[in-house]
Amino acid sequence: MRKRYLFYLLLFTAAILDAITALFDARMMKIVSDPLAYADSFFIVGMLVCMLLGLFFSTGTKNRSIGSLVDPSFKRIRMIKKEELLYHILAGAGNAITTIAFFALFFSFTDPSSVLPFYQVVLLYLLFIEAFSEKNAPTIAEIEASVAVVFGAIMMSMTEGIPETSALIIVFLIMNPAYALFTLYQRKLKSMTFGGKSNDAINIRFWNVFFTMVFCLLFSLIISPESILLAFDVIPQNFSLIATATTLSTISYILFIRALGISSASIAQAVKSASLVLSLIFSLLMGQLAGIDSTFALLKFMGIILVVLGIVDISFTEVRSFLFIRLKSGQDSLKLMQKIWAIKGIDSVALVSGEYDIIARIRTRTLGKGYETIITKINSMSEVSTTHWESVLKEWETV
Amino acid sequence: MIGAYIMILASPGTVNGIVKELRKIEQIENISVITGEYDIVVRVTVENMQKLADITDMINIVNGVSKTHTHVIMREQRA
Repeated sequence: MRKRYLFYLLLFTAAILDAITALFDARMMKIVSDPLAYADSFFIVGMLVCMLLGLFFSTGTKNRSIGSLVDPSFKRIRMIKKEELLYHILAGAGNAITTIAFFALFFSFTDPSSVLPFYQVVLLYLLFIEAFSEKNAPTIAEIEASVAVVFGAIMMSMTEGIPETSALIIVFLIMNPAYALFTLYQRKLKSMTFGGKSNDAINIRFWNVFFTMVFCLLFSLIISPESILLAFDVIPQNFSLIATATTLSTISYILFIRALGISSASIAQAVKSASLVLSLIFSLLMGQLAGIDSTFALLKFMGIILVVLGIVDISFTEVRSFLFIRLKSGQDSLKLMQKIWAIKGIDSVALVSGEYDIIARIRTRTLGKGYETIITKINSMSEVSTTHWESVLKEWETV
Repeated sequence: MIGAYIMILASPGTVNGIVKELRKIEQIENISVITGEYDIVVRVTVENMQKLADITDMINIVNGVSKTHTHVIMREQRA
């Protein structure tokens, strides 16, 4: 399958599952009305679901498990590795905080299509962090598209007016910084390799649920121990409801983590924001938005346009190219390879034998940008004799 | 493992047919249809040089392929 198609297939499926899960969350918050207790029950049941899913995904033939259909790197549920531990702890803490904050927002907004958009503010945090930490820092076009998604999402969340200050504090200072932490560390885990194979999404999610459960229980113990007792009261009465929500959420995250291995966290998150449009459709169908003021209906409609435009922008503006380079004789090719690798936008660089000396694969948002940032830099290197640029028209990749 | 880029020159109007055949070869990791001197670039990973020669032969006999040029990767950095 073409890598690009797989990326969107993973994220759109995750978006559908997210939108459905939000409906279950809204229903559960009406029953439980204690975010800590619901978070505890969600992850206790979630751990049970993950164990069953893990067992199911681990079955299959000796060489190929069922889970390898979801992520080819998966073999079976395994123990956590020493080098993963810190990232798992940080991602678990981030997920626990963001989930509790997300459930707390249901006190201010009962309609899931008004709460879900607040998750998209994380894009701004991700873009900011990636601008400093990632080799392929976001381009202007990516920032533009992501900002459109964020503002579109905020407009979509408006059902009854400007959110209360306490809700905005939760969104901007607690939920989204924690969510950014959670997303970036999951990406870090996905990019790790063990024995030549990349880390798999199923094990990452399994251990994430474990650590999130531990942190949720820990927070409850510190803040309000009675929430734990309430969680254990809630689980038997609503087991099927919670188990369905956690199963959908687990599968959604497995698909999202798999997509994180293909592109940056901000791009994956932007595409996943398709869940907002679906969530709004579900809310409309379920009559949650009956009697909405026409001004807010218009705002929601404009928000949808911005979100869709942002996703389309990100999806269709990537340009991939090859740059074939010949060196002058007697030059240190390894040193030059490192210099080329340091340029932003270079996806891979290979020292080769044959007609050319170096083949670089490039990812940019526009050809002009590629020319400015890459070709002019490489041509100005004294070791380079000639460069030859060829744009990719279509691409298929095994993923 | 040995990695290589194989550049392919195709006869006019045969690119889609060649890509269809190339997608059946397991060792091919990436197929790019490109503009310029060559029409297709493929990235392969094989166990040894003999396997690389086999893959090159398989590509050369695909209908429409008029020339191939293989660049063996000696060192590489990937994102």
